[in-house]
Amino acid sequence: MRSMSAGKRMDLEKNITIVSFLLVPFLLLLLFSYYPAVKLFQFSFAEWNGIDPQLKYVGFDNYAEVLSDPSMRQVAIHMIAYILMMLVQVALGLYLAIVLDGAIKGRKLFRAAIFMPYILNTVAVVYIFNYLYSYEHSPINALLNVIGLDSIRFINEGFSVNLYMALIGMWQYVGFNMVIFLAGLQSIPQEQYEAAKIDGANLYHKIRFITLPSIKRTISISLMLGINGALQAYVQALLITPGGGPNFATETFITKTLRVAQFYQKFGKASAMGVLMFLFIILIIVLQNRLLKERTD
Amino acid sequence: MKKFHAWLIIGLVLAVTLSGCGKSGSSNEGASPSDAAQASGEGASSEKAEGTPEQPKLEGKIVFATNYTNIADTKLKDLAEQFMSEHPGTTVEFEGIKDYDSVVSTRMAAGELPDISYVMPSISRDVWSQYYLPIDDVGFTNDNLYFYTAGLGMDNKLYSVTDSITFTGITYNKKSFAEAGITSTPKTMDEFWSAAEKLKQKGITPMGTALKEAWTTYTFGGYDTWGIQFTGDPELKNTYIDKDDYIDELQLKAFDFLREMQKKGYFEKDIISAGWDQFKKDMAAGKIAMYYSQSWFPSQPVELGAKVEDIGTFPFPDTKYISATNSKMYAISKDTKSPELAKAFLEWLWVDGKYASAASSLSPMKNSGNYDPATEELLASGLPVIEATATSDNITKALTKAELDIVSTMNGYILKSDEDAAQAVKQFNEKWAKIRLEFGGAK
Amino acid sequence: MSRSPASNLTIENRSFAVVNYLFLLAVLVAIIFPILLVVIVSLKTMEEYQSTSVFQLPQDILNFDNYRFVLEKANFILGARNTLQLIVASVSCSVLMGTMVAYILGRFEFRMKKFVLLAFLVPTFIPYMTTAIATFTVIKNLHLYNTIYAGIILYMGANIVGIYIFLQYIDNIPDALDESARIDGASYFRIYWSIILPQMKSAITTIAIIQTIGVYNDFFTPYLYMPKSSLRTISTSLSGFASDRGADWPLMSAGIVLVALPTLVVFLFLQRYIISGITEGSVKS
Repeated sequence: MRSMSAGKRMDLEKNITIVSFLLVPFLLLLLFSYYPAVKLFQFSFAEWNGIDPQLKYVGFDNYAEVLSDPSMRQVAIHMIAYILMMLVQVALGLYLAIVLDGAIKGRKLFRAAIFMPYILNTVAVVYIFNYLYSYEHSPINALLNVIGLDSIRFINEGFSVNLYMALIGMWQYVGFNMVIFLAGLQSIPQEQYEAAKIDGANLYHKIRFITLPSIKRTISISLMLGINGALQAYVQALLITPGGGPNFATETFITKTLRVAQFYQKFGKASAMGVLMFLFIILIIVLQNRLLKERTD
Repeated sequence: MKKFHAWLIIGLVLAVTLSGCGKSGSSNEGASPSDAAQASGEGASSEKAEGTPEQPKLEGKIVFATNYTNIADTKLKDLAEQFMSEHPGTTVEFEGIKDYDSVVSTRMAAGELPDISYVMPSISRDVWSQYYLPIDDVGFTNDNLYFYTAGLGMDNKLYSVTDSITFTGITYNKKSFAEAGITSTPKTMDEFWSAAEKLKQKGITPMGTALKEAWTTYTFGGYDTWGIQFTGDPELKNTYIDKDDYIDELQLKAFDFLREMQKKGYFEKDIISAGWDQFKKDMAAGKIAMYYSQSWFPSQPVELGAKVEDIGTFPFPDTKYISATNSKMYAISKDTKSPELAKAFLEWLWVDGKYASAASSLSPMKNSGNYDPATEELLASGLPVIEATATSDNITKALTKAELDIVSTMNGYILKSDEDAAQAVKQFNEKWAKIRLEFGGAK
Repeated sequence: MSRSPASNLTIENRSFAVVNYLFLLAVLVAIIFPILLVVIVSLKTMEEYQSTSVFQLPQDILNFDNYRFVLEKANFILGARNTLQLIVASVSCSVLMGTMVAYILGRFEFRMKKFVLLAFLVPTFIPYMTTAIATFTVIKNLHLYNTIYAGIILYMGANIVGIYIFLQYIDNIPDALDESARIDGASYFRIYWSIILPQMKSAITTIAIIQTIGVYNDFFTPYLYMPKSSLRTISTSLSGFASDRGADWPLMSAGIVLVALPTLVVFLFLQRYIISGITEGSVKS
């Protein structure tokens, strides 16, 4: 009898704790994440200029317009550049973490220096690269010219301009990836490596069979955040090439959405783009998770 | 453990108290009594047709949202303080906003329209009465204000007034011309090409585009700036609602001119990465000789060190008219808490072109005396000035609905191959032919 | 206890090791190069900048004129004060709530558990910019527009990265501690407060630093929700300054360095916490 009521009391206490601890965070989530998301969904079914108090509903017209727009294919191709760079970034972050986890001279200095760009203001970083990417006045081109090479046309009408844009993000965030991986690496018990060494494993074996599998979770979340960041990139393209670049060569999902919303005042269509983008990101992430699961099982 | 808790509690307490400090007082500049004499004197001698009525004591607070962020804290602040010293007890404030259209639209959607702001492209004339206050009683008329009719709503009441008038022409650096041995400004295209060649030979870029910014070539891409110079018809742009080809030979003249300039190498070495800041610097230094734009531009190289007398403007070669267009149309929010103050401030800023001259643009009031040397030179060319009528709402709506942007099409045209360029124009016109019918275009 | 830098993954092959080290140096140079450039340019006068090559050192290495100018004109002091308020208020709340959520998810079993975690994760993938109008309306209806509370409340939410890291830490705190405390009659809150929290000291520091960097550098929120000039933050001051002085690179560079300085100082001093903070949590004691 006594244990039963004690049990019930514990249940009550447990539930109260859960609810009270989660109350405020959830409230904030609701107000600032989910309510706006619902509104976004609502707007996507309307034709709206962003100001009118009245919404004019048009069903799936916005979605149809977005999906049948040929320039969207172009934008999707640009995003491939960002995804590619992101993969390089994650791989580089992992590499740096592995190397700088070992006994290397100046380890602490390297780590600190590589992490530094992360703390800089993103707008400032973009302005710096805006200068570095100018054809006539870039110090990089000046250097290249001095050693006899041609100047690079960073801002061009081709695909590569997107790689250069994505490079800016990589410069700023590779240090963050490195630090996250460093954390993961430090959780691998030394005994595993020692045992492997006794068995005659070389570096490659160690990395492939011990290191990588042990940090599966870290790799997974790095990729998730990376995909999200890559697909939502916009600051560099927006600030360096305000008009979308020569023939819209630097247009990303977000810059195009902003253009549709602000320049063409088609807020409903932009909202539809936002929803589609969200679904697309989720899709890629689910795929990535599946892929990772398969490889390691 | 205890120490840790102590820090945690201190942290939280700090957080709460510091956030309480957030209630900083309103930025009340306070009225500092100064020479009130000058104020009343100048106010009376304004261009108002009717005599200045006895003003009731003004009070309240208003915010004027401007896109001129660079002078918001300097020249405009000084203007605000001057007004407040003339009208103690009032508070007027300028707020500089960078991404004006998107920020103010967002605020507008939430009912937070600033007291005085400019009418954004998305706000068509038919809804002006919903958002703005009629200002017929302020004293602006067609006789004293340029583009008066552009500010009339559907009910023929005045809602907005342009903050300046701009004339279109090619701004040039006289020193560059002198260096290249060009003695007079080109009046025909042949003279222009030979002048450009001379400049190129001297290692000076004949004309700048700053194409990376995309908006910088806008003067070439509108019938109210470009086309009108050839036809002299103020309504030119609005006639296109009835034409299938939005981009016709008249507009193509500009497109092809730009293409030719690029082919001949008369623009910056790599126009795609040419930025605005670098362009202004080069123009000030004489490394770039010309830029086709409007009267707000000549002051920019001067700010960067060029001498005022070295910057001039001449009409585009072979044109017969000089086009004059309005700038941002400012209006008072219908929900303003201090309408009388807003009206008084608006009037005060417009009289003698105070706001315009702070922004280095030309006063919108007629008969406001001499303009800057560059504009005077342009007007001295003798070509008649044509004031372009405001673009009609249905053209704007049609273009935005079909997502047709002439300037970006034009910028793409400069770089594309011959076939792609022609194709782009064809596609534009096809879309236009379809959309214009939805907005009242004649079949 | 953090591992000593083990030579578990040392490169046996000598030449490979050398190549490896060279590559590291190359990466270091690539990272440092733009930063160095900015610092050099910030110490030059306008004439120097225009006439000399970018790589040439400034005549007067201690030419702080640009810095002085920026400090006066860009109103950094006000920006700094506002930013500090924002940071202290929002980061403390956000970290606290993050630990609370992690405690619940790490220590309790209940039906909706997976759903709760997902609920915090999913919004990260919604394109931030597209929800601006709706969020703005919420802020406005709460009468927080153009007050410092708008920024505080927007930055206050529990961050998913924080939750994940805190979860990782909590996983490593043995349940035995909880259990013995329960036997002694401690409430769940007590356990959270007296046992769990103190063990997460370094995680808290780490996440606090990372969130501080985030708030410090964020431009969009203060720009849209707190535009009043008396509410200027460091990032909006810098961007306002940048747009006026776009062509004046020496000044701009000084501005960039000034803005980066506080975070740099904090970072250099607390560097060991950041990196070891994340790493310590994963160590199985």
